[in-house]
Amino acid sequence: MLESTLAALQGLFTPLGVLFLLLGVLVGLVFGVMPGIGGTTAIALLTPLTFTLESSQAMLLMGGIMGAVSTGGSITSILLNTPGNAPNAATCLDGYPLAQQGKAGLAIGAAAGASTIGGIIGIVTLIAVIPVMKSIVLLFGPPEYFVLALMGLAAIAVATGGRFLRGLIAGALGLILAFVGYDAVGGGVRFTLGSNYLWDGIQLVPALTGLFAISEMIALSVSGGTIAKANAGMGIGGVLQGFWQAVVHWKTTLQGSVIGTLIGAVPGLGGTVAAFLAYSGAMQISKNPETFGKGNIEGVIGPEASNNSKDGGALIPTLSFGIPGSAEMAVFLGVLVLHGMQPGPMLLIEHEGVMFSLILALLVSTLFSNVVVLAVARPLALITRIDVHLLVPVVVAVALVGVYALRETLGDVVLAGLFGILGYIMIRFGFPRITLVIALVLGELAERSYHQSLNMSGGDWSIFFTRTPSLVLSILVVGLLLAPAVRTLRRGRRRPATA
Amino acid sequence: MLKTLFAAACAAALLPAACLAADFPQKNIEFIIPFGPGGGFDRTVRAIAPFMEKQLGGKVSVLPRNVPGAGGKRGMATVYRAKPDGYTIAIANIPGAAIPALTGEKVEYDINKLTWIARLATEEYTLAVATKSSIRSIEDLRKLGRPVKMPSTDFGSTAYAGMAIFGEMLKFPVQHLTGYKGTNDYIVAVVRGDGDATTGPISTMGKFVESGDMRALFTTEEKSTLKGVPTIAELGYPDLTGLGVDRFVVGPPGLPPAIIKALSDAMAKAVQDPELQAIAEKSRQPFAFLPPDKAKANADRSLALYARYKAALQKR
Repeated sequence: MLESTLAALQGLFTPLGVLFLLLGVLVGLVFGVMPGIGGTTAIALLTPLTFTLESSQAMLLMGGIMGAVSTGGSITSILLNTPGNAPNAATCLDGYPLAQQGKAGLAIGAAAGASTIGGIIGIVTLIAVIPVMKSIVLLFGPPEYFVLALMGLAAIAVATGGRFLRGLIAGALGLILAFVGYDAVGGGVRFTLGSNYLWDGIQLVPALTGLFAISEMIALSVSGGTIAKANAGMGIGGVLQGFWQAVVHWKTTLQGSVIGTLIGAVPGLGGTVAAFLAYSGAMQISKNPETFGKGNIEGVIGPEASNNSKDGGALIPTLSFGIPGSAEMAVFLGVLVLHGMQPGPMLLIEHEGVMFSLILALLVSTLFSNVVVLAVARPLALITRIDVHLLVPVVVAVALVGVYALRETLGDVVLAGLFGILGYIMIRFGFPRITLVIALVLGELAERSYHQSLNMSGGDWSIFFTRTPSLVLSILVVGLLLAPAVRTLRRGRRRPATA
Repeated sequence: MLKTLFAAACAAALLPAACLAADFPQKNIEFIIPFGPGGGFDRTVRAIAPFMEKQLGGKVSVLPRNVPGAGGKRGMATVYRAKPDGYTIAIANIPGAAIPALTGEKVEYDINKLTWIARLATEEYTLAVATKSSIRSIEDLRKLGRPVKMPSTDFGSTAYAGMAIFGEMLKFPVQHLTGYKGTNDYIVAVVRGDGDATTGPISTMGKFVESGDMRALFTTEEKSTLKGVPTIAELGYPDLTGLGVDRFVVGPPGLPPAIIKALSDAMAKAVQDPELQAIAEKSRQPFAFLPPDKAKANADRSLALYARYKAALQKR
């Protein structure tokens, strides 16, 4: 392992190695910033370019992209409420309110700080578990996926932002929407209104673009002015101060990183779930949970830490069995095959050196991309000073083009528009969007893994409690649901004593 | 100048088909992949596209375009509806693209009307169990005393169809565990013990056999490439030899013969290119090129084989 690391380092510190890595970082940042298109598109487009490269150089390019994409995506989430990629959507919730208060620089700095630390934690964890990673992946089967999905859904309870009933209504709507489409277990098609478009369900990227970006653009064109409100003060600095915030709130950063690494390692859950879980986790350990959604820096730090740490975690199922942990990873596996590496249980044994180049590239790319972001944060933050009547058409156009470019389907653009209207209605009437998103993202997994588990056990429910990993997770879910109640009870008991 | 004259003559003579071919290609060719990026079909197209460009004169591009959705049906419908001018072609999963119609799903294309341009590759199946499993033979599958649990992606996928046919022909009851996201996912499900056995392409499953995680019972090849594993014919079921998945190139119905030839020739020469052969060898996905007529015969045979098991495929 040490030898491979040294060889990978040698490969990196050649002029060509640095060149390809930097190229990857640049491409990753640009594709990350563009809403809709992200790492998946970037890797697919650059695949033919890697034909002529050596395997380890190709890995530097790909690792560069993967490490930089989520960093780029956080910028537009904060400045324009437009998530660059689906996993960045959670960053909108507090990042954008900060930008409205004229603290865009602070938020971007905090995002960069959390991303850097999260990325490092994810990769260090990956390297540490390499000897045992096969057994880790084998621990998680459909019953465990189901309980994990439940855990995510349980987070709805804490994510309602004080509007419990409205939060539940939005969550229920999300669940209903999650069940649209082809049911891979039962083999039936549901709620598709006879259209082939809905066969694959509600697509996440257009839905999130609509809910966050389009709805906000509607709200902005109604209100006018600029994104950063006039009374917000003119200072747009605070970038380094923001970076420091990720260290000050080290508990939030650490928690986000652990959630990201864990969820990343479970195939099928993905970065979007990780980010929203990290967000609700940050809310739970915060001293000021009531300011979440109104510009609490911890609400940026949690999801951004999870966003970059998930890249390291997602490599665990990929390197051990060739199971892609994310959409990007699926495309990346294709690149491996073209370079003569068959994803599967022999990958790390046969190509250890090349894989270490990838891990190293991911690490260096995380650092590089955040340095770039820190450097350009100040000028970028000026966007929040532009008159919205100039800004809105540009953002809407770019967002919709990005949505279209991802799958080249007009239906996706229509869907983004519809979710934009839905999102605007939700903002107007005070319904939290986060509970809808959590349910929409997790509903399909919960249903599928529930059916799979019962198929495995022949209809016996005990499968969720007789397997050690799912039992442990089930206990955690109960604890998570009871924790707020216990906390309230304790407070209630203390109050009479002090009074 | 001559070309313009020729084009004018073509327009005057109202013989668009013949003239199209003489000029073909004039613009970029869209090569549809009915799946998302990253899979075997995607890789095949992305690998051959630059070499086709070279063979077509290097003036136009061959652009891979992923049209995922509805288990490949959206992409197939897209090429089916395209203008038959050769500028829209697709890679097709056979039998995958035929299965929905066999199981009674609504499809917006008629597989028998598509134009067969070439076959690019073929892949045979193997059936395997976890190494720690007590199942060592087909006989053990029958003696399990309960249905054999077989994980797969979804109802109607090619591997699912393969498992249904194996169960029917080898006389063991199958309980499908569907819902896994990809090939490696459902293979690992067997290693983990979610199910008893599964079927998958040799290039992917062979790696699990090699690593010692799985034990293969047979392959559908004519000559086994997995060490120590018999072929299905050697076990007494020669009918099942060749059960696997093929990668064909198809065009819209009614594609003019001259254009078929131009495209097919370009692909035939492309797969001969040493550079592409090196890539194919490295990725262990050798090309197995067949020209249009042979491709059609091959596809017809495969479609007929699967059609014979229609009843088994419709059972859920």
